[in-house]
Amino acid sequence: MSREADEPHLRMRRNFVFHVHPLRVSEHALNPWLTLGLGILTGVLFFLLCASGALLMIYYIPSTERAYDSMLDIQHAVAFGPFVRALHRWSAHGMVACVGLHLVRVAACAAYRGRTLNWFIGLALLASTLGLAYTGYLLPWDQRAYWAVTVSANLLDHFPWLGAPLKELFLGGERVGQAALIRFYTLHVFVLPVVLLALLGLHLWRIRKDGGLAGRPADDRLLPAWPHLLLREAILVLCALAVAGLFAALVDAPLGGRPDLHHPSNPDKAPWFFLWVQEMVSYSAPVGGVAFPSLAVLLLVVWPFADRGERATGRWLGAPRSRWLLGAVVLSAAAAFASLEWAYLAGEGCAGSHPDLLNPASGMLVLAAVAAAAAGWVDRSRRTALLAALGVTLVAVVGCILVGLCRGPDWIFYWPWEDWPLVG
Amino acid sequence: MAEEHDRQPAEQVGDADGPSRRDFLVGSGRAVLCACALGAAAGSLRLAIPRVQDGPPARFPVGRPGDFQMRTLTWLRERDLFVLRDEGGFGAMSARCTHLGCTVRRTADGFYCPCHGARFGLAGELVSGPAREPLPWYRLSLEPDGKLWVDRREEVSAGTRSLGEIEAGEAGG
Repeated sequence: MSREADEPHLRMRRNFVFHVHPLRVSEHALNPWLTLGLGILTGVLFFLLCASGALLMIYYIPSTERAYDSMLDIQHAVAFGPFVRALHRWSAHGMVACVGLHLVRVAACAAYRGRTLNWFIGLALLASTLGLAYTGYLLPWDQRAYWAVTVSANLLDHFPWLGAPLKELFLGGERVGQAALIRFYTLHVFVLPVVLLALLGLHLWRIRKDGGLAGRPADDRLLPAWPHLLLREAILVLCALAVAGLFAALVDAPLGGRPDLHHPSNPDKAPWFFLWVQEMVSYSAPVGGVAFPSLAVLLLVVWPFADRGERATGRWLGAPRSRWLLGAVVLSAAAAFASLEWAYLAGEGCAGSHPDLLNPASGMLVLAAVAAAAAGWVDRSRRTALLAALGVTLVAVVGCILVGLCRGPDWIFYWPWEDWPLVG
Repeated sequence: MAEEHDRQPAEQVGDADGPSRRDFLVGSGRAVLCACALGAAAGSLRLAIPRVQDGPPARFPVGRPGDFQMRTLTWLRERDLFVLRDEGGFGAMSARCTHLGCTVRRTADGFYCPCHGARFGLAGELVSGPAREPLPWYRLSLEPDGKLWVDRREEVSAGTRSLGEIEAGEAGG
């Protein structure tokens, strides 16, 4: 009791903060390069999304006849409407980026060791985040939204036997219409946020149960969480809020034209985090839209079970030898991707005999398998094999996003400095 | 201690080898709860699959024969359909790309899809790009109301013309 009186910060003991954090934290956990603060950034952005989303709900009407008009209202008639909408849009993009980087960070630091349950809660959080980004994309009911969702829903047709019922479940019909809009709205404003919040609670609780950040050295000192950890976190949170606010004030969220249900724009691009799928399905729908994403998910699901050998955890990429090896894998994957893409783009128009097999996406799948086997064999480590497969996958994803950004009318490749032709 | 004391009578009543009454009741309780949860989940899922879908009908009229000029290709925007008329008669071809459902556009030598760059020939046959199926053609018939009707459920082979006997000058029934 006397201690609490001596140290005023301990009065916060019953505070929410000390349910999430312990009173004393390891010095190791204070190293910002270990986590890059990605989990906290995700949390800040989720808070911003809930707040701005609730404000947008006051004016948004989920009806095919009125949704677009309500967007115009928010954009032109509502006080602070454009700012709140931009904040919502850019926070969503930021959250997808932070969740993705957080996953890569945890994989690269082997922070999942002994925490298999939390790895899977994390994967479910990633799925919920992508689900929120996807369902939110339809709501403005502009030209882009309508066609992006039409195209991606039709991808389900290429999934064996589960695809058709799932499409019916999500769209409530054969095509994107009122039934789909109200379903997406319900998922976006209620179901997915509730699921995400529940999973987030579990995720944080498991981190504490598992003893805080992974990989605490044995000889580590314990320091009071206040001010050492909490002050750093507060600075990060305030900086994140400032950057998000500034970005939303400076960059408007785009709003396409009123949707033309019988005439897609040319080109019609998905947001960057789905653009790699769009680029890959332009090679082949079964490979780019089904095989590649499914195998990527499979890699993440088997990951904590496949890495059983090594104990080391909480350090970036382990031994220097593994780092050099993985660096070489990523560089050669980038070179391989560039060559595959160049060959594919140069050969376009004279479709090969096996377009589903001979394309950059299939090539990178094969390369991921080969790189995993080779790196695992050289390093005598399954963990290195997994990281090599993830590295090649990420190169393919980032590469396809970059190529997708360069696509112009008729889905033809144009360098950023080239002008697009005028088309009808 | 209290729990062990409680268990005593139940175990005496049950068979020495079989489960005790308590185990049986707890087990059945769990089974019933699981069954209820599964039933509720299945019911919720069933509710979300609509019994009746709104949307355009699969069979619809496209106009009178006289509405289509000889040697023309008409884009019926609201139906995502091309209707073609030449000396052989009438033909109806889908305007929805078989890759991922965007509307294709007319070019000098066929059709292209702006979404992922699929290209089709004049009869909807594959030329290049990610599509793996040609554009489907549908059955077209002249009904007693004097209009041409198209049925999306009945596909016919590419290039099929029907009703070639209708004269070019005949102005719609």
